[in-house]
Amino acid sequence: MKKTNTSLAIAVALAAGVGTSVFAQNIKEDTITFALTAQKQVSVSTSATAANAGTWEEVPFYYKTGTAKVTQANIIQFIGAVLWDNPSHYSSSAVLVLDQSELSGFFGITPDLGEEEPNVWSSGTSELNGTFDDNGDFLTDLNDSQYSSFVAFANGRHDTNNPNIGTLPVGHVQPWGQIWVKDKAKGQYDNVTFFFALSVEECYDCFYMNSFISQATFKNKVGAQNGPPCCSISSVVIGSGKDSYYLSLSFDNTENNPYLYYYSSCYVGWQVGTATVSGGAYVEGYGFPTSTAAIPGDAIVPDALPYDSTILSHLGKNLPYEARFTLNGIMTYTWTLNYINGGADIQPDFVGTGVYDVNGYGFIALYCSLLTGTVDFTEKVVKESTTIDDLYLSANSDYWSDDWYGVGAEYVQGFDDSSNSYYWETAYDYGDYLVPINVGTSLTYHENFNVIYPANSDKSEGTGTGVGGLPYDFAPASWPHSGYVPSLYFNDDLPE
Amino acid sequence: MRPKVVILSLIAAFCALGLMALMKGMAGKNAGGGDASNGQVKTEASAAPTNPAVAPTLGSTTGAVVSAELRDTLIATEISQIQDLQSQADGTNNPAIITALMGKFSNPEKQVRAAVITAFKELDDTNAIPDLQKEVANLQDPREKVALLDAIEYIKLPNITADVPPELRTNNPPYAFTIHTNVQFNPLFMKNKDVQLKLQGHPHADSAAPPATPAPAPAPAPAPATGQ
Repeated sequence: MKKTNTSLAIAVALAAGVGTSVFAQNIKEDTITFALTAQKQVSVSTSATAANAGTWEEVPFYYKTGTAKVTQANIIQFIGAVLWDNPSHYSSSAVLVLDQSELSGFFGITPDLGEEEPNVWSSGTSELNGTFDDNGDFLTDLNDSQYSSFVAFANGRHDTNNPNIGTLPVGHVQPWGQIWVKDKAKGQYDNVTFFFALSVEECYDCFYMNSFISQATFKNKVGAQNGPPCCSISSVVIGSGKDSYYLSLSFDNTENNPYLYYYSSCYVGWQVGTATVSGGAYVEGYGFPTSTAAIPGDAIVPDALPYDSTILSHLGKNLPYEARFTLNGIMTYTWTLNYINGGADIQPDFVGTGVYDVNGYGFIALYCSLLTGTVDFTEKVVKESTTIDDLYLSANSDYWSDDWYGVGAEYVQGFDDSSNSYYWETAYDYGDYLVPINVGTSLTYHENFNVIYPANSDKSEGTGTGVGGLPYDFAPASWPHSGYVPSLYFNDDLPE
Repeated sequence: MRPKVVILSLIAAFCALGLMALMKGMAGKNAGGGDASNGQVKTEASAAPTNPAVAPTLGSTTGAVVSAELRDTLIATEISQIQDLQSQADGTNNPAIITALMGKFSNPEKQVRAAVITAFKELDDTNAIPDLQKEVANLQDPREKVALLDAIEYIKLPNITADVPPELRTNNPPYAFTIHTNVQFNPLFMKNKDVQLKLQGHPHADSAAPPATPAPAPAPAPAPATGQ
């Protein structure tokens, strides 16, 4: 943690009169709503009339499906069940919020922000704990920022600066932010980003937009004198448009999630206070559960479930809030780029609505579920005092953004010859990317098919090195996809 | 003067002013509407050629004509109001919110009505269904009808956790569920994981359990299960 740096940054900001929330009265808040329909198996039976009747040995001939809905209220229950051991922990008015959200492909971050260092468990170790230090860049809203984020424009390159004017490429970091449960009625605000994994498919080696398409128009607003007196600028860009990209969004409150898995380097159990992060009752390794504990290995190890010949076994009846699912589809973000605080803003900000039409699959309450529906990201300009930024600050006397969960970060393992030890850092820090991609602050893992993307390096050559001497890819991000999750449950090298 | 007299005088004065304004407006409309006799009303664009960026008529019943920019602003304002209403829902005030949202269906803009449908879907309150079913008949666009019918069907769906028994809704894990007598645990999964981790040199293998993590449960004998 670098609270000193944060305080210093605040002091500097105050002294200079720039950035942060000093001048911003309004900021945007992005509320996430899920409206999913789940088709699930409700009966496998040996009887045409009775559901789930008979035994497996009798051979079931009758199969029936049912339909149910899944909303953000359910997801908040799934989170509460694991984070607080109580599915009803949050009030009925709790919402999911994407704080400091940036959904446009034109949102860019500076190398400075991209180089934030991930935190380790304690000094002298190389074990990541899933978070990163803010290092002073604690607000990424465009309107507040003059040094960490900016509006980017296509520069004719995929992965490098424009050779003539130095601009960075677009489309490598959206969506951006941290996902929170905001329960104003209860006065509780929890960063739950690590329950989610998001990845955006980049479109091979595009020299246009890299990961998204856009119908947009920008224009220069010349003569504007925006920002505080010390730092006002005379010309800015405003505009409106519609961006689309292919997004995958996963949720997982089981131990398959590396952030909830005790043996993972990204385990966050110590980070979230009173939380007991596990899928239901904690199952230590392959330790055998008591009859009152969760089912061993369920959703993690195939056939670790105890076998019960009765179809209606009631196995799993005690885990109605266990959930793991993945949604895929096109996110369409309709936005305007304008000032949300009039002349007090240094820069205009994107505000709009993201409509994410999805289908997907999942494992919810032990049922195989096929999902369709929409996820809406609704951004509104609101008083900053009503947002996570200020509410958390008031409740904790600290900026929440001291710690971000970089679930979109791509970590690699390096080796320090001088100390003869391994260490972790992001692929960007390691030099695998020329511009910020999958950095320690990323919400979204950007997937590509390029040899320099270490996610695609061969992981079969043992710890430490991949093909061609590339570092061994750790990549806890994007866990349902190609990112490697070092789940020891799946390790086939286990000694017999 | 007595207060009642004052109030009545003021009302009369306002009525008179209103009547005058109405008459003036009608006169102005006739004066400026040279083609009105042909049943056509001049648009703002034709009356003001210096302002070419005029959009189609905002589909309101007043026939007012606004610029594309203003129209977008009006739509955005309406949608913002709908989202505000939706965000105010706390379970106790849903009837008022449903009534207010239903009123938005009369908006002539398709985008606004689409936002209303989305809001109802996300509000997810079955009490709105009767009113929504009536509204289906009022919609002219078949796509909107289908969208609203889909929303109604969605609201009718049971929730994924609807069948969770009360004792499981506030505690996790609660558990005392019963295991059958014919349960067979797979011996493959009865190994001591910590030993394996140590063999692999995993750094967490020797760590103490996190403070919030329950200690590993001792391996019990296979559960003496009873019948279902």
